[in-house]
Amino acid sequence: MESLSDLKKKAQKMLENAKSIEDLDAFEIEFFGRKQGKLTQVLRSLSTLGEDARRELGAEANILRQDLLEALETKRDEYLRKSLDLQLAKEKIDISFPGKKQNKGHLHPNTLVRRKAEAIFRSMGFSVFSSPDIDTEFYNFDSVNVPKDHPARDMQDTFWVEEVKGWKDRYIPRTHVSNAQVRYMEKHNPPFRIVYSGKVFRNEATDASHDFQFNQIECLMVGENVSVANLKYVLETFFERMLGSGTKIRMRPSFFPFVEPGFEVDITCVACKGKGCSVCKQSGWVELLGAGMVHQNVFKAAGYVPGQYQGFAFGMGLDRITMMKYNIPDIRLLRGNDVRFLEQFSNRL
Amino acid sequence: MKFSHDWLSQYVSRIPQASELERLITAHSFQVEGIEKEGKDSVLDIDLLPNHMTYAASHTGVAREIAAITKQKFSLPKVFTSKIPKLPLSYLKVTDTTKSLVSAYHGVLLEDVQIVPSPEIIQKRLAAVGVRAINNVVDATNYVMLELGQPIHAFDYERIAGNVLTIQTAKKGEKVVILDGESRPLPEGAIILRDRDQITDLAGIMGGEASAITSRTHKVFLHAAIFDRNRIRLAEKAIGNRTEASLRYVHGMTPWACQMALQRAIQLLNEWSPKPVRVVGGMELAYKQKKNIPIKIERSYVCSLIGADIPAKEIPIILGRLGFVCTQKGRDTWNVVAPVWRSDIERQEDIVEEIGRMYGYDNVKSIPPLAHLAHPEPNDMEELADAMRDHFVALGYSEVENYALEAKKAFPQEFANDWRIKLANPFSEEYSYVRDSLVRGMLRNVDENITRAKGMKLFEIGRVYRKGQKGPEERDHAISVFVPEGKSQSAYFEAKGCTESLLERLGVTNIWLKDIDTNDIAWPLPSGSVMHPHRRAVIKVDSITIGVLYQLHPAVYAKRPVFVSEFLMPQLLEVVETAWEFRAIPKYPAVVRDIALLVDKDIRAQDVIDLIESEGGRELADVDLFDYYEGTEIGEDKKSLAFHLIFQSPDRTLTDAEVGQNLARIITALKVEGWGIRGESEAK
Repeated sequence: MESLSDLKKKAQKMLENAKSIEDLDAFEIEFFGRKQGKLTQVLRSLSTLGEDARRELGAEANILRQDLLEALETKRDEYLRKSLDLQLAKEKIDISFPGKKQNKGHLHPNTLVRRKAEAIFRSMGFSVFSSPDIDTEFYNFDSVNVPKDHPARDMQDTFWVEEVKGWKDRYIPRTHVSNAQVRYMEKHNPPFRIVYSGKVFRNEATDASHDFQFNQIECLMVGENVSVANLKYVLETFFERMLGSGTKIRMRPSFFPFVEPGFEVDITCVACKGKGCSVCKQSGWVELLGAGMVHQNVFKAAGYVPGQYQGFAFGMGLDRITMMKYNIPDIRLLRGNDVRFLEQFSNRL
Repeated sequence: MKFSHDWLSQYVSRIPQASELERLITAHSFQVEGIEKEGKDSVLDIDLLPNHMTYAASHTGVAREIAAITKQKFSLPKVFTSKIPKLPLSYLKVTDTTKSLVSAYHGVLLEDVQIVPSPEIIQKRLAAVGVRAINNVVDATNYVMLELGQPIHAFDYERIAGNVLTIQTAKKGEKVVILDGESRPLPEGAIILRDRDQITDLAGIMGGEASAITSRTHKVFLHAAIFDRNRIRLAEKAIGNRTEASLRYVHGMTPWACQMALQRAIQLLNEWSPKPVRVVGGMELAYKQKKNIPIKIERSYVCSLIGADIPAKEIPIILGRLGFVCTQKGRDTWNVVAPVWRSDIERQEDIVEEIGRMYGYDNVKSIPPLAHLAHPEPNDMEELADAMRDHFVALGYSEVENYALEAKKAFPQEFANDWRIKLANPFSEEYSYVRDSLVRGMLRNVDENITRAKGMKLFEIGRVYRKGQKGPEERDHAISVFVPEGKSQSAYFEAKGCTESLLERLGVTNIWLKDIDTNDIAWPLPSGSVMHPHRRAVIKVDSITIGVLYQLHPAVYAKRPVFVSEFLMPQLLEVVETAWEFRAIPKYPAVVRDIALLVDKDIRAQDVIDLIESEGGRELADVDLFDYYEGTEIGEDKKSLAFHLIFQSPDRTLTDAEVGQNLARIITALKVEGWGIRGESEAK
């Protein structure tokens, strides 16, 4: 049997000369193999020695075993690392290649805008209400104080449903979502605040900014002391959050049968931020909605005692906000459903 | 309507420059559409709304607003003030036979009238607002109308046959030659003036050729009247001609300026002619006039509605500037009478509006509303629809928005039902019916995009409509279409997987599909005839039909296979709302065994699963079809099905022996059916 010091020298030399994982494996078998390993044999032979010799040689042999195993692991880590590096180098890719497209769906831009608007109004305590798209002449016109001889009722402006035997009322694909007003008030007492939206129809020629079908969103708030000042606050808050801080509103006196006083509301032109451009005809303002204090005749139609309540209502074209928000030049794109259009919109409002 | 800055300045002590005027008028009164330069003058284009027309369709009307806004003095123009004698009936007898269609009629007869051009400054003023100068008499009538808002008409007195004018309504088939020289049929019931021989005036719209002013005219009869607005609207529509006069009449006018307009015309003719005219006499038909009644206003209501603290002393001052007369009735209470030129003031809120706009809405500070902290009511249908939108998007579908109107021969025709709602007055045949289904719009989207996209996943959530017993019915409905890229054997199952995933995301996991028979599908689901006869299924939860899943029949659309899922939103809402309960996470491990079977092609996977489940015992937790194969080597009329059988107990670890017993029972049952076992194994 070799002396421990010879064994140590041999082992260190073999380890130094090891050039690969395989050499290291051979080294491990040579010295630590379970049966023939040289150091294993030394350690196994210890039991045949006397107590003193066993203690002396045993201590020495164990130290050598520890050192060699440690050196082996270090060396092995080194080689493993090297071979991994080689492997990884083979896996080199061109990171500038395009990413693999994931099939993702897209919400319609009008949905994105409607949701954002509803979220803002909900945060101010408005409930979301729905009403029929095709409604009676009463809910569309009479209930909201549109007089019988008002030009809006003309065939030129309004679609009428062909009469059907057995129907008591005349029906209209609603011209505004205001049919919701009395429908809601008939079943609820103030105070309340609601927001409602949906399809509306106009019998008019289509062009880049007009379509015979579009979407409106409207709010109605009724209580005992609801005022123009409150209306102004809600509108300011809405547009700041919808179109960004710095968006201002301007209320101009105007006339709509369902309100008194009535307003037309302009907002800061989004295109030029109010500086004046071709979009806003140099005025810095864009006309966007109609508003006002609910006409007492509307409360009367809902069965409220006239003079008991005050409220505001305002309505606007949802499509127009969508067009403004995304800089869409033609309203007809919104219902053209070209996939190349639809795929541009993501949920990042 | 156009207004000359120079002209407006005649009635206001100090008038702001045009651009400042634009800002002020827009903020307080009417929308100014734009300003155009006309030489040294500026012309404001003001958008007057219907209720403004009665009092603001004139330069004095707008000037009165400007004076009120800028707190300057307003003055009416100078008029002929000498006393006008009564015109003897022998000169002219005017009779109204209509009874109720005239509410004021004033006339004046002038002699020694010389027809000359108007002064240049007047011609320019008229031109600036778009009126062509003709001669002093015609220009004076136009000028007075643009100045006071009251239309007046000039007749050549010597061409009025028989010295009579009768106001009456046109009979069917009557014709008139009006000033433009054309003969036009009159609508029945139009108001006309007739002399002994013929029609001389189409009242409120245009004068007749028969008594028109010519260069030889030297006696002029002028009239200023108020004619029924509805008859004038009818007439102007029928002859297709809206004039400056009819525009004013149709919006309703008060007669306050009739007499003044005649006096002003005499004044102008005197100023514009070489020598003064001689006033022979004036006449007037007597009518009962409607008066503006006092309206009580309270400051507390004014302030509450506007939401601003408007001082008590301001209220009568503001209203006074607009011509309203306020009589104090108590502390902070007034009786207010609107001026004679206003017919649009009917209630307290109308007066609040006047105060509010003059006070200025820019001066109203915004105030957050004080309100009860009532929780917003939920809207289940809207919430379901929005949740579905998100799930569709997550599954790769894009949302479309289609028109609810469509052609009679809708694309494709197979879908058109006679319960569809029809429009009485469509603007085009292409959009003359209301959709009763979402499929057609969707299919049109597919067809239009087919060259743009290889595959498509689209969805729409919207309402569909049809004629009901008592009125239109409308339903919330959802649809998705899947057009696979190229040919795909598994497309139906991909569509089915998407449908299942969508429902699973909504918490609906207990669906089952069954073959369609006619009892299963009713509107708004489409008829089974538009579906592939062997690739269509009803989606059910318990006994409730919540939708259909089908491939469109190639006879309906041949270009590409289209897989459609439709969902009945009200029914879906019903099943989504059922409570969802926690299930304990299993404590003991599952044992999975696989079996493969060879069965006849007609045998449904579901039938096999049903049998396995019924024989598997309570330890059988789940059955999963994981492989499916058809091919010649196993026989034309056979198919191979492979299942994972998952055994699990909630209270112990199952032994191999237990699982083996259950499996044996299953295999025996399958063999009884004649379904050959191809193999079984322990799953890896």
